[in-house]
This record gives sequence, structure tokens and C-alpha cells, in this order.
Amino acid sequence: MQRVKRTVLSTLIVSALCGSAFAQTSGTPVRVGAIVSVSGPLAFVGTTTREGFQLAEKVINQRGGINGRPLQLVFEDDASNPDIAVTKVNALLNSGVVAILGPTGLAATLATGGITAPKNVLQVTGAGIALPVERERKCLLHMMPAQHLNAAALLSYAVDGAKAKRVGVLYDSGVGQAVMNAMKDLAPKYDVNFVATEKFDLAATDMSSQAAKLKASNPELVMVLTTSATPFRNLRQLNVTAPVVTGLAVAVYETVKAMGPAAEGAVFAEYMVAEDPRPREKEFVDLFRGEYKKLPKNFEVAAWEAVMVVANALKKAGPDAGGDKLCIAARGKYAAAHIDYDFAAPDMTGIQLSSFQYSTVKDGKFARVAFTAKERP
Amino acid sequence: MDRSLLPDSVRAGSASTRHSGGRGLALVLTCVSLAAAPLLLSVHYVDLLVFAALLAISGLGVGFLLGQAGIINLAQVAFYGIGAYATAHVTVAWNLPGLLGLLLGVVISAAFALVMGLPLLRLSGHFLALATLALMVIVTQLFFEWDWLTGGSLGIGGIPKISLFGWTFDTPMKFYYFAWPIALLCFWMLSNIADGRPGLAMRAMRDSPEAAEVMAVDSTALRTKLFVLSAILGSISGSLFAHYVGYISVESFTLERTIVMIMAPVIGGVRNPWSALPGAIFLSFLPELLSPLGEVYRILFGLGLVLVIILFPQGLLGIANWRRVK
Amino acid sequence: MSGELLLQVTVSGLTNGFLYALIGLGLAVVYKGSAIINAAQGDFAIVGAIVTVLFTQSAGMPYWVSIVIGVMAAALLGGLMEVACIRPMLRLKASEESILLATVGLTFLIGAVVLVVVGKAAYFLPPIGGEAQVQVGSATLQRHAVIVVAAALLVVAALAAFYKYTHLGRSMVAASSDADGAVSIGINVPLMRTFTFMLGGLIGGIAGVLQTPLIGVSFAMGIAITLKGVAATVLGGLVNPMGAVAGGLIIGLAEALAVFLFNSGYQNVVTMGLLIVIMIAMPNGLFVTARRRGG
Repeated sequence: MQRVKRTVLSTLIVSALCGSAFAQTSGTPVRVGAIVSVSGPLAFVGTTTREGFQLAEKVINQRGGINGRPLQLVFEDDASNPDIAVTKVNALLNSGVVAILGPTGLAATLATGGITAPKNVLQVTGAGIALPVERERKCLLHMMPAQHLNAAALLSYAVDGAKAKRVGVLYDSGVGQAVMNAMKDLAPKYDVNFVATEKFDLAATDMSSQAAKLKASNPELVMVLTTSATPFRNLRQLNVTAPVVTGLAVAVYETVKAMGPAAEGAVFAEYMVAEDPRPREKEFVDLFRGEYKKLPKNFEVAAWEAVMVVANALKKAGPDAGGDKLCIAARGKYAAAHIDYDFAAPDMTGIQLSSFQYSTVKDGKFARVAFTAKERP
Repeated sequence: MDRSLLPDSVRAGSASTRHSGGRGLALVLTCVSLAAAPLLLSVHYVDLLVFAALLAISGLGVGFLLGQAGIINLAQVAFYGIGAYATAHVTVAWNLPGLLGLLLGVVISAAFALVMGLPLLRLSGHFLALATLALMVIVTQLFFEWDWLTGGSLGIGGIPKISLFGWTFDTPMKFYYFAWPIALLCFWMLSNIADGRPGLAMRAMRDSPEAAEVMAVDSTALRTKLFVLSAILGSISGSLFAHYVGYISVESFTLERTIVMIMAPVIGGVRNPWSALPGAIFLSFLPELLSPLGEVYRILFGLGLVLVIILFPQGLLGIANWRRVK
Repeated sequence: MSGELLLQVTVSGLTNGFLYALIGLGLAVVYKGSAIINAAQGDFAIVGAIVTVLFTQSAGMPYWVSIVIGVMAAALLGGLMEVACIRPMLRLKASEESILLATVGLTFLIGAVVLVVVGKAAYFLPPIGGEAQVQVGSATLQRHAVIVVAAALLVVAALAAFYKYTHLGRSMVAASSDADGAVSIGINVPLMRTFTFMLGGLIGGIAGVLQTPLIGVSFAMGIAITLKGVAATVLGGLVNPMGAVAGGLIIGLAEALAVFLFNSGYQNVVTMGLLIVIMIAMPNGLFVTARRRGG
């Protein structure tokens, strides 16, 4: 996929904003807005996402930008607040950006979508699709799937991989609840019995009581749907021996580190195990490691690919295409480093269940687990 | 009633009446500036001012309760949420006009405030503040838990724009000219209440409970009425919010939001019924003005907030009182 | 089976209760010495914990040394807060609610600083007493949790002794209950207030260090922790340290029993509902030594 595009340098070099990132490009920058939550409860995902965005911007410009013109990402922080995201998207659109990346949160995505959709502005977000109304937003592409797919990935491993029937779930009141609802819908299809489903508040500092209730129901396997490390530690403190299965929200090095010994042996349903990269991921993993001296995971690659999708659409339709043409250019099949997308699909992602990669933690590092999820009819 | 029993701070009236002439001029200037603003500022700032209007309305309710009656009400975001969800349901699930949603929100909030207010408002001081906080936690957790009603963290989307007499308020500028007149009307009405007899009774209750009792002011009844009024304002603000953003989720109804609602009037100078107005504008604009500074802007915002509170102990509107205080 | 679960959640609930009690203790100390409710109390815990984390993980110093440094840092922060923020406001005759909101502003500020300094991650400290566990009947408890309980009780006892037997402690009590009288016998009232906040910071720092091995620490936690502490101390009558402990235990137990008895999604609803019921039923507070009606 190496495409080193040589451009003919004109005598006009863009001043002020340029750094070495624009070395291979010239002309007025193509401005794309990027709303990320770098403060507030979603800061975790937001700052990671930003790393992916920035790397993509840099590499795209090294390779000749958008048809020779530099790509410029304009970052705004929505502080994990959907109202601020709305203000920011209005400001960005007003300042003339041609597309929007982000925001980070589900609620913010739904809120900002209400503004970009009527204006036919291309928006690519890392959040998963949530409400039916989003299927009508043909210009809002998602890099992560709907909750039902996340739920199916977890259930697949629990039932087909670990052969468990009695499953306990510990989940938070945020996205955890959304996934739990999806899992309840899918339970009959997977023939699984949820012996205990315990919820804890997003802002809670301790879930020992919920974990104790879970333990008392004697599950064969425990699912944890959350973004923090504490529930895992609570389970371990109570000597819960059942295997733990969880999602990509906690498949993050810092979180795993915070889990301490509780992380060992937990299984993650995610997309990228950079310790053991597949051929299609290798280029991205090497670029990321070269830039940030650490391994990337799901939020980083999703962010990188989001920029690629926008950049490709801009190159195809032309940087001044705007609106509808840009959306049409973006909505097609796309082979990302980690997943095959089909943005023309009804769920705006086209992600297949088989795209999920499974990993576990051994001695504090991620290791691949050999399992592929299969659809159940 | 024998007003000689009352301390000066009560008799002097709400802070706004002390300089009637000055107040009138300030009011006219404010109205003119607000009317002209969208024509002079970019749509980005108009958008911010709309959010400021919403904050001003809910802050008015809380500030009134605090400034005139000495009650800290941390439950406001609960009523804000009730108003928003009522609007969402009426317009999305039942497909009825927005005004009905507004009305429903107001009715539910008022009823809820009445039912909860009667037992709670017998408390006072820190107990009452904590009780309102507990109320807020209960309601917001129910927003999460009853996701069949509220949509939980996925929320409710597709809320249509609100229309009145054939005008649809579907752009920031149009909504601005819808929200601010409502806000100003609310401020004006409450300011009149503060200047009138009920205001006297409230301040008596706040500053000199014994004298108030002698004058047969029914404390609990009055406080409950104020609490209901505050809740109604919170609900109106929430309904407008739902129409403006078109999408609501539990993530908008947080502890931080309820704190911001009480910050607005305190920054403005809580004794003055108009305090939430400058306070809301300040709180809406400061983060925006600082955000170009990058990473550290959150620190500067916190610093700015603390500095303004320290340097203006009577609030922003209290500047007018500086000469008097000496 | 149900009995085992009840025992386990009770044990967990009491552990949390003591953690809330420690925050409440700090709040009670500050309120007792200055009549101010410090909304940034939870941030003393955060800062104490974060400094300890930095010295243990980044500087590689021995755990006990780092703890002392962390707690001292929190105490210093308390003193700084009093001098830089509270003192000027009192001089300008600011209202009670303005001061309260200034401390709220400080919560935002401190949280923002922590975010910039250590980032978004959650950090845990090693449990004091190692990873060992203790059995209480059929219930499991971390050995660290036992140490939390012991430490909390020790702090309460030390505080009582401090106020009663030390010159500084008695001066602080005198300064807060009768400022004019205190001045007349040569007590530096503003300095006593500074010490009050430093003491509040110290206790907050201890709370932070004790809670971090169990629940971790991150930049956004300040206000949530303060909330529980405020609930504990208001319930207990605000000035009475024992009251704060009682309040904290009630809240911790209520949370645990709420999960045991009801759907865990209603945990906060039940706990807060209980709080309201207690306050309405006992308007003079849990202990009749409450200074004024309603706390």
C-alpha cells in the first residue's frame, strides 16, 4: 500500500502553519474538523484517538497530502459534553472545514449528527452506531459497530469458545448498559443463561457488592462491560475464579496495567493485537510505534483509518467537492488495517462478526487467542 | 405587617431596587445589546449565547431560591432533565406540538417539586442542601435506570424544532430570538416578585426567621412555592434545550451541570435576582475564549472561575454596590 | 447462601464506609475550625494519592517515604488553599455560598492540573499489608481493608487527643468557637484557620493513600469522593468527627445492602432515599451535639 506520491512543488509555500509535515505539499490546506474529548470522563478514549488522528495527518502529508494540498486537522475539545460538541461543530462548520472527524462519545455523535446530517457534511466517528435515526444519516460513517455486534462477539466467545452456559455480567450504567440490552436480545440465539446481571453506576468507585452478588450466583464465566479497571480488581479480591471476558473499551495498556494481576487470563474481544500483528496491520503498527514508541490498539487504529477514509474521499471527489459528492465518494468498501468496512451497508459500517480478534493478557502483555466468531443464524 | 421588626437587609429590598434609575438604564442597555448581538457576532457566538440563555433560565430559579430565601438547591438538573424528556416524548413518541411538551414538563416538574418539597423543605441549612443533592442523584439515576422511558445513554433523538405562530426556530439566530425574550420575561417576572410583598417575606425568612414568624409568614408554604417555581424554570430550560440540540441523553444531566447552574447566579451576585444573566454569559463564554490556548485551558478556566469568585465577593453585579459598601 | 452474601456485602460496605468516613473526617475538621464546607476535600485525597504514586512509581522511592511525602503535599495544599483563596474572601466579607462555590471552582482547577500532570489514566497503589486476604467467617477481606479500618479509628482518636490535650489543638478550637476571645488571649486566629485547612489536607491525604489501593485514583474522581464525604459528615452533624464516622458507615452499609436487597441498578436511589428519610426523621442530626437545627 506504499504510495509515495511525488508532487511538483510550486513557488508558493504556505507560511505560518507549515512545519516539516507539509514538506511534500503546497497550496491552501484542506481543513478537516476533529472533535475529541481530551478532558472529562471520555478523556481516556479522546486522547488516544487524537494520537491516531495526528499520526494520520502527518503521514498523509508526507505522502503528498490531498492531491498535493496539505491536510490540516483542526482540533476541538468537547470535554465529554454533548452540548459543547454541538457548539464546536457549529464553529468548525462555520470556519469552513470540509468534513468532521469524531466526536468521541456516543451522545455527542448523535447530537452533532443532527447538525451535519441536514447539511450533508461528511462525518466519520469512532463511536458505534446507536439509534435507528442514525441509519438515515447517510453521511455519518462509523468506525465501530453497533452494540449488537459487540454483544455477539462476546457471546460468541463465551458460548462457542469457552463453552459456557451460565454467565454472569457486571456492567456500568453507560455503554455497558447498552451492550447488556443487546445481549439480552441475543441470549435466546446463543442459548445462554444469564445467572446474574449486576449494574454499577458510571461514577461509582467500588463495585464489591455487585461483584459479591455475581459470585454468589456461581457463574461459569463472567463478562465485564465497562471502561475502568476497578471491577476486575473487585472480582479478583473476592477470589472469583470464573474466566473473565470483556470488550475493547478496556483493551488499553494503561487500563490493563491498572488492573494489575486481575488482568491475567482475561479475554478481550477487540480488533488489534499489535504484539502479533497480521500482515495487513504491520505497516500501521510500525508507523505508530515509530512515532509514539508504544504499541497501538483499537482506538488508535480506528482514528487513523477514519482520517484515511476522509482523505480518500477527498482525493476521489476533489478537495472542494463538498457535501453530497464527498459522502458518495466515502460510502463504499474500504479495507482498513484492522477491519474490512463497507460504508454503504445499512448499519453504516459493514463490519462482520468474523472481524473480531480475541486476545488475552499474559505477564502483563497482550497475546493472541485463536478464536474466530461465527454468525449464528 | 410591621416592617420595623425587620433588619435593614430585608427592608432595603432585593439588591436590584436599590438604584432604581441605574437599574432601569442597565436593563435597557442589556436588552439592546442582547437584541443586537446576533447581528454583530458570528453564528458560533450566537450559539454560545443560546446556551447562555438556557443556563440563565435554570440559574434564575436556583439563584432566586438562594439569593432571596437562602436555600441551596442542587436538584435543578433533575427538573431540567424532566423538562427535556417530557419534550422529547411529546414531540417524538406522541408527535404533538412542542408547546405541549413544554407544558407537560412544567406540570410534571411542578408536581414533583411540590410532592418532594413538602417534606424536604422542613429541613434547613446543610441538611436541606444535602437533601436536594440526594434528590438530584435519585432522579438522575432513574434517568439511567428507566431507559425504556429515557433511552438511557443512547438517549432520544430526532426531536423536532419548536414552532410558534408559524415561525419555526430552526437556526441558532432564530432560536436566539425565541429563547432570550423568554429568559428576559422570566427575569422580569421574578424580579417583580422579589420587589413585592412575597420578596419581603422571603428575605425576612432568610435573614431573620424569628421576625418572620412573628409576622406569621408561613415558612414551609412559601419555601415550597419557591421550590416549585425554581423547578418550573429548570423544566422550561430543559425543554428548550431539547428543541435546540434535537437530541438528549443522560450524559447531559450530570452533577457538574447542576453545579454550573448554581454557579451562574453566585458569580453574578446572588442577592440580585438578575444575577444569573451575567453569570450564565460568563460561564458560557469563558471556556470558549480560553480554548484556543490548548492543553492548559481547563486549568485557566478553573483559575478564572476561582479568581472571579474571590475578587467579586458580591458577584459581578455587586460592583455597583462597591461605592455603597464603604 | 444468602447469609454468606449478606456477610460479604456487609464487610465490603463497611470498608467503603470507613473510606467515606475519612473524607468526612477531613470535612468535619475544616468545618469545625472555620465554618466552611470544603468542596475540594476529595481533591486533597487525590493529590495525596497522586504524589505518592509519582514518588513510588516514577522516583522509585520506598513506599512509606512516598506516603509521608504525599500526605505532606496534601497538607501543604490545604494550607495554600486557605492562604490564597479563603483568607482573601473572608477579608472581602464574601458570603457563605460564595466561599463554597470558590472551593467548587478549586475542585475543577485541581482536577485540571492533575489531568495535565499525570494524564487520564487511573493509578493504583500497592496494598499496605500486601496482597494478603483475611477471612471473616465466609467473607473475604483484603488485609489492606483491615488497615483502613484501624487507621480510621486511629485518626479519630488522635484527633480527639489533639484537640483536647495539645496547645495547638486547643488554640484551634478556641479560635473557631470565639474568635474575639481567642485574639484577646494572644491566639493568631487566621493562622489557626490555616492550620485547620492543613489538618484537613493531612487527613484528606491519608484518606487518599488508604483508598487508592482499593479503588484507584484518577483526575476526575475529586467531586464524587467529596460528595460521599459531605453526605457522611452532614449526616453526622458536621462538627463531630465521630458523627462523620457514623455517617460514613451508614452510607457504606446502605449502598451494600441496597445491592443485596434490590436490583443493583437502584443502588444510589436506595442510598440517597435512605439519607433523605434519616434527615427528615432526625432533623437535629444523628448526634444532638449539632450546632444548629438542620446541621
